[in-house]
Amino acid sequence: MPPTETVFLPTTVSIKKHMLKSFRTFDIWDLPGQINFTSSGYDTEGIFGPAGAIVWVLDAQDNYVESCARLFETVMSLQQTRPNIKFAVFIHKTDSISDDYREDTVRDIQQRITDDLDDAGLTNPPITFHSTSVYDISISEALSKVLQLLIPQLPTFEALINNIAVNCCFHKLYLIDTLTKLFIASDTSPGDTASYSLLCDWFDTLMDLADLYSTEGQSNESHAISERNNGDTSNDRNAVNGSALVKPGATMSTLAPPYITENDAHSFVKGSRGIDLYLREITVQLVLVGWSKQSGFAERKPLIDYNVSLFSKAIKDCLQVIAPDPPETEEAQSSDNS
Amino acid sequence: GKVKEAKQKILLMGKSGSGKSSMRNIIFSNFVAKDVRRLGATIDVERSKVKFLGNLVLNLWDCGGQDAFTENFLTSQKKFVFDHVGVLIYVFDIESRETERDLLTYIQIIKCLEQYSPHACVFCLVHKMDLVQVESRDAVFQERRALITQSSRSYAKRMVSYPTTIWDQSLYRAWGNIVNSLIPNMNVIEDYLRHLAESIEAQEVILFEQSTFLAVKHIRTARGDGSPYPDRLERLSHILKTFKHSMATFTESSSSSHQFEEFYISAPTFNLVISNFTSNTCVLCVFPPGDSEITCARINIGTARQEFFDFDMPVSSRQRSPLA
Ligand SMILES: Nc1nc2c(ncn2[C@@H]2O[C@H](COP(=O)(O)OP(=O)(O)OP(=O)(O)O)[C@@H](O)[C@H]2O)c(=O)[nH]1
Ligand SMILES: Nc1nc2c(ncn2[C@@H]2O[C@H](COP(=O)(O)OP(=O)(O)O)[C@@H](O)[C@H]2O)c(=O)[nH]1
Ligand SMILES: [Mg+2]
Repeated sequence: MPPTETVFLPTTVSIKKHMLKSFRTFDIWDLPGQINFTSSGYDTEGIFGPAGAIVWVLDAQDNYVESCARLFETVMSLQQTRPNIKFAVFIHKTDSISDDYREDTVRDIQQRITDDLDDAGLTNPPITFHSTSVYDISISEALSKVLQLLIPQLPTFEALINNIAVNCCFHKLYLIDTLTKLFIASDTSPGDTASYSLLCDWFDTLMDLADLYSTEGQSNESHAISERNNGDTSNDRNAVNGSALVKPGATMSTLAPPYITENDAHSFVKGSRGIDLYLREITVQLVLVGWSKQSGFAERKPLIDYNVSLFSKAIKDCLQVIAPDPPETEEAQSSDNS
Repeated sequence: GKVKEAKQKILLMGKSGSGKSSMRNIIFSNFVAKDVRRLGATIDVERSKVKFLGNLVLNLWDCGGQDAFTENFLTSQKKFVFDHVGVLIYVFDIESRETERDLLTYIQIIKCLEQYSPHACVFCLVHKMDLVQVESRDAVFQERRALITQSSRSYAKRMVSYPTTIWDQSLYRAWGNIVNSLIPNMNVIEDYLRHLAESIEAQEVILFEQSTFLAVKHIRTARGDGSPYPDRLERLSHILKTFKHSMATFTESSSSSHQFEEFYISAPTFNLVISNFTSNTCVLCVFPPGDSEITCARINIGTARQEFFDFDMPVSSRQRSPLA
């Protein structure tokens, strides 16, 4: 949904459950903001019991004092029964606040909540703060961080990605979920929103181009492929690809993510300002995407490809090991102040 | 004749607020649609030279549409403005409540054009179509087109009109066609591209101007018949322009310069390569999947680039004939 259309969304009045299918499944529960679930009369164990993380949305445009107080109550109440639940506070709609004022607001909210918890004896609360808006990439970045709280293998993924980044001179590398563009891991160099934003834009560009061409001229094309295969034994991939053809008339949305990422799809941009972009499919759900400004990066691409193949195998092994795990659940509580 | 033809004057006219400068800045100065809210009204005439292909310089006159300026253009500055015009682009705001008055102004402009540049081409853009409900867009446009044609006097038969909005690819369709009507030697370009397409068994080869990403020429081979997207040229302009803008934002460079030398996608069902071609064009090729196909295509594009090289030179110095 484009951000401008969110204006028409109705207010949430009952618990809505959404499923996020990635390399594993996450449940997202959208809770209405008017109800205090920690007060008696609600099945707190049923609601919060299975939760791994709670996203608490604060409206930065609004008077947030009340919501901060409610958050405080919720944290304190859940700390007693479920100390493992992690909180992520989204200080939301920050697009409408001017730059200087934005930082002040974020700092103020952060201070207020940590101080209150500190006074109540909770010195190291499991809370992170994120400033977000639906009009830019900040919301995806924040959600990515929440997702990562729930991935026990994160350190393994990060170690593998760091290894590739260092050896192949990437400046920033992300393992991105193809459906949502959330990143489930990245190298651990200081993250920057600009890199993530550029790589997501590039990924969108690739999807748009794939939409235009992945259905094309099939009968003719498979003919051309079979002809060519007679003389070219190195290319038996094509034979496999034939079965992956999309049916004509498939709609844009059913086409979008998987097609570019099947059978090891890859993409490369040699930028004219020394910025090169690299993308390689790992599984249908995951792509590795990164950029570099190292000179000679493009020339070293065969070596990089080789290293990424090893990486890809390691990640797949890792996913195979965790596949039988029961999916964890994430719970989102949205505090509606407007 | 040729050299003069390359220095044609393009007049951009229409009522104040109709969206002339918005379109100019998106196409030629790499604004994104939401940036244009910052634009102020154009004072008098803003002249700019846009180098399009090697020997084609577009001499663009963005004429402020406030009544006082229009009045001047029609009287004291008449000869200055309407002399040596190659193309008139006239913009109608679909939201305007004074259709009749808009058409009267248009007729006066057309009369001046008849007097000083009778052979000019006339394009009319019915703009801000995003403000019309999707279902009625076509009907509204046809109705407006009929009125404009009636007012076009001796240009009525030749006048071409397009519905446009800065919010989708309709903008690229209109401007792509306008700019194409100005490019000489189109058949020479076509020969080169067709040859390239055959050498890599491509289903599609498209030549884009590099800074605007308007399609200059498009070759579709038998192999590529049956694309479900008849509007893909303008979609491609839109997609690539947007990406270029993201790259420019990231590198904090002025985005009118080009942002990549090569761009390729290797997907299971197709390969796509975009590569620098001449100093201000790039070529997009779509061909069957496979890694060796990519290597082959890159070599062939390199060869074609060499052969095409002198196309970008001034006409007078060009000697070589197209590929046999
Ligand atoms: N809804 C909509 N608004 C548009 C579109 N194109 C331009 N606008 C808006 O129209 C307003 C006026 O645009 P300009 O390009 O400055 O108009 P102009 O024709 O150059 O006006 P003058 O310079 O005074 O002649 C801007 O605020 C744009 O945001 C469009 O396609 N749709
Ligand atoms: N300015 C701005 N408005 C937003 C943003 N995110 C959501 N909104 C608006 O806030 C309103 C309420 O959003 P909604 O998701 O329905 O709130 P909920 O009740 O918490 O589920 C809608 O009109 C949205 O358009 C944002 O990042 N910036
Ligand atoms: Mg203007």
